Amino acid sequence: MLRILSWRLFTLVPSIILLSIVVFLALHLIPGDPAVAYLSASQLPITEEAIERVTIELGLDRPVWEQYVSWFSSALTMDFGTSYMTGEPIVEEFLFYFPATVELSVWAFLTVILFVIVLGSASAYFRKTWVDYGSRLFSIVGASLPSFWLGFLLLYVFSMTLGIFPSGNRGTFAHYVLPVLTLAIPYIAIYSRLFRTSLLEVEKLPWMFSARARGLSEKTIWIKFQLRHGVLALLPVLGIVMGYLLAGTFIVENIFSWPGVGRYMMNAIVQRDYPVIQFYILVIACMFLLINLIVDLLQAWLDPRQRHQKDGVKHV
Amino acid sequence: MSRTSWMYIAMAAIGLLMVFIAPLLIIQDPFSANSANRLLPPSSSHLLGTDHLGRDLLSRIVYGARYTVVTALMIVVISGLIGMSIGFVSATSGGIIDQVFMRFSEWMSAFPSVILAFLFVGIAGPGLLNILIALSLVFWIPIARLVRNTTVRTMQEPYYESAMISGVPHVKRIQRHLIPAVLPQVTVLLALNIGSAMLHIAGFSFLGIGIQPPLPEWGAMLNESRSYFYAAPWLMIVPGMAIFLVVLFWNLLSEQMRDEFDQKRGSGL
Amino acid sequence: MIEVNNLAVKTANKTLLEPLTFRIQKGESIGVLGESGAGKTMLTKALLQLLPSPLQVEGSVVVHDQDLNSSSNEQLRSIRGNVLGYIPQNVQAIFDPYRKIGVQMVEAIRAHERTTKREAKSTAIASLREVQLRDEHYNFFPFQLSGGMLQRAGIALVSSLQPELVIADEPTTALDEETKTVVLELLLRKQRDEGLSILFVSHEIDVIKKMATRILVLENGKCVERGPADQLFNDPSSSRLQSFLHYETVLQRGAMKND
Repeated sequence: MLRILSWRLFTLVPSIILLSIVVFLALHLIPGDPAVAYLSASQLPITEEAIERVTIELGLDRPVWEQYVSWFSSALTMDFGTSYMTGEPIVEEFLFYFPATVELSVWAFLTVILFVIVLGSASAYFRKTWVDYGSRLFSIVGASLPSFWLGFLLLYVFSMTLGIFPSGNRGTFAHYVLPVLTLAIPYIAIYSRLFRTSLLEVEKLPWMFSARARGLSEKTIWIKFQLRHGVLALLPVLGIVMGYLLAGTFIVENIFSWPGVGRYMMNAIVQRDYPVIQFYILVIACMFLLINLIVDLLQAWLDPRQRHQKDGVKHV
Repeated sequence: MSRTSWMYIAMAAIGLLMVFIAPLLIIQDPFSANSANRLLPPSSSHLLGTDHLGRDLLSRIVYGARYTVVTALMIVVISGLIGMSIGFVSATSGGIIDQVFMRFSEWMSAFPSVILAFLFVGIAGPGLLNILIALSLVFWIPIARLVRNTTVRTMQEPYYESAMISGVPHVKRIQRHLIPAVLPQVTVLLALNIGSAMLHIAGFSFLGIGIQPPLPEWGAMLNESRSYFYAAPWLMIVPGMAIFLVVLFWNLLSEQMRDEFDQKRGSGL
Repeated sequence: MIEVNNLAVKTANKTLLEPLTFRIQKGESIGVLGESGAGKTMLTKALLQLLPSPLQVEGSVVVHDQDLNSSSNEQLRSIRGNVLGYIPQNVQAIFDPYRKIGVQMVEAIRAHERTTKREAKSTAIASLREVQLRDEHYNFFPFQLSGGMLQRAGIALVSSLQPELVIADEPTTALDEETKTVVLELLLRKQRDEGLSILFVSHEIDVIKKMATRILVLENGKCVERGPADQLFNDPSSSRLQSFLHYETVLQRGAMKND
């Protein structure tokens, strides 16, 4: 297992290097002078003289490949440069904001899993009853709600009008409720429907008939057969959701003044803070590749066919 | 297609017409600020009230429809054309081209489309044009995959092979077999994409990296007036409701088409 | 032990299985012969009351003075497996691919009998031995067995519940000749030694000949011919059976020529 893991991690390296080259080139070839961006981001007067000084300071006068090599060699030592805006090392700043985002997404993730399984199985079990129709309505509505509007609605009702939950910042448990819900509801809406479908797909598998024919109780069939396979089919999707949640907190952080990476990144984009943007893209890419890897391994581990792989035996 | 589907399509057409005609009929200027009329609640002179600069909300909403809706439609048309042609070429040419496409699309689908679009905007900078490019760039991939897979599957069907052997010309085969197999699924996906593109555009504008105020894009309007929500809730309810209803419309249309399509194929889930 | 009266399967506007009446005594084996699509599988599913809901089942299936067609779900559950065993054609359709064979056997045994896990396990292992599988197969996953072994494990599962009637839906079609013989002998021995009744469904005439004493011939959802096996094969009246037999002779002649 450990050998497979390290091999798979190793095979990710070329993708990441390739990606870093593409991003580096893209950022250096698009119109807009990084030197100007640097000056405006650090709120210095943009004069001809200043641009010249900064161009040399940042090494922008050197050929692109030389810049890349120097960026890459310092990246190997975890030095990704400093932010144009603050002049602070990017890694440090990122690590300062990242925990808040992780907290938010992990809670949202758990909420999504819980509600997807409960809602999905309820609507599959009570299919074509009001439970099913209700969950269908919820999922269409939930998938059509702009998440920023949902956030404001929740804020307006629960925070401003009813005063149950605070409106922003981190702190107690109550601070988490509204942002987590805002983040989770659209995903619950989409994936509970998907889970229902995959449960009904399991129903059609041939060994389900045999299980009934040998007189197992509906409860056993539901829990041991249907739910189990439904959850296994859901697994790759859950990986995607986790990635989405980690990288997709911009809007929620904006609405609830959440001090996370999303807001940090938004500022960087508006201010054209190139080193920060570049670092963030690489972090996101690595995160997704890593999540995919974890899902793959988890799936292999949970599927006895892959766990006990014998050579040359193929199974349906 | 059933009567319900045609009804949806008629509604879409009328809606689209309204987007361009209604601004001509509306007397109030969506841009003229008037500090005397600040934050007026809905009344007979301002049906949906006014915003923090005293601009009429109804005319802003109607006028603003073109940004979200038209941009979304453009994205869907562009990405649909690119996706369908690449998917079709990849399926019919096979070999190395198909291999390269499959590898590439697998690699891309490891990353969610919103994030990719967001990163593209991060690189290329904020702005309407960049958002249009970014979303078109990420939306074509699933369409191409769908077209490619359906085409490959259809070409392996016995009826297609027999048509090929019996010398039915290429164009006729495409007309008779491939288009009927591919089109329904693609239409469902395209309708779904319109809704999702609208959510993205509004989201980007809300974050301030899309369409910028004073243009009355719905997401941008929400962001612009957010500090007045408690005093003037209509400023929050109206633009959000506009986005929600239009997106809901497209999602319902897509759902309706998928149901009909499933029934035709006989899987009654 | 089972009495089937005017059993029919219908959709809203079509009859898929014409009314069919037969009974099976204890220790008797009945063969159902027919081409694919003749309604054989429909018949087995109707007997178990496991047809999907848009299909309506009419008539009665009486087991131990109880009509299955009007039984509660719980009554049906305790009869399935316990009284009526079922062996499917597709060996991949017997076990859940993700769980061990032994676990699924114990689960089935304990669904019908109040026993401890340990007792159920020893019952399961005894059944596995009976079909010439080894004790360690208890801890195997379905995919670790070959097709023939899997079919035997399936029979072990069915017989560990000690049913009175086994409904076998083409249990040997997917198997090679050697395994086929082993499986058929196994069923015949259970019939001889324990008085098991068998409803044997197949399109292979030699298998039916070997297994059944009485035969029903199905065609397009209709019983076109029935009677004791030896009599039917000597004097077939339906064109269907005639063509079956004719085909058989042609095959045999061909086989002889090749020898």
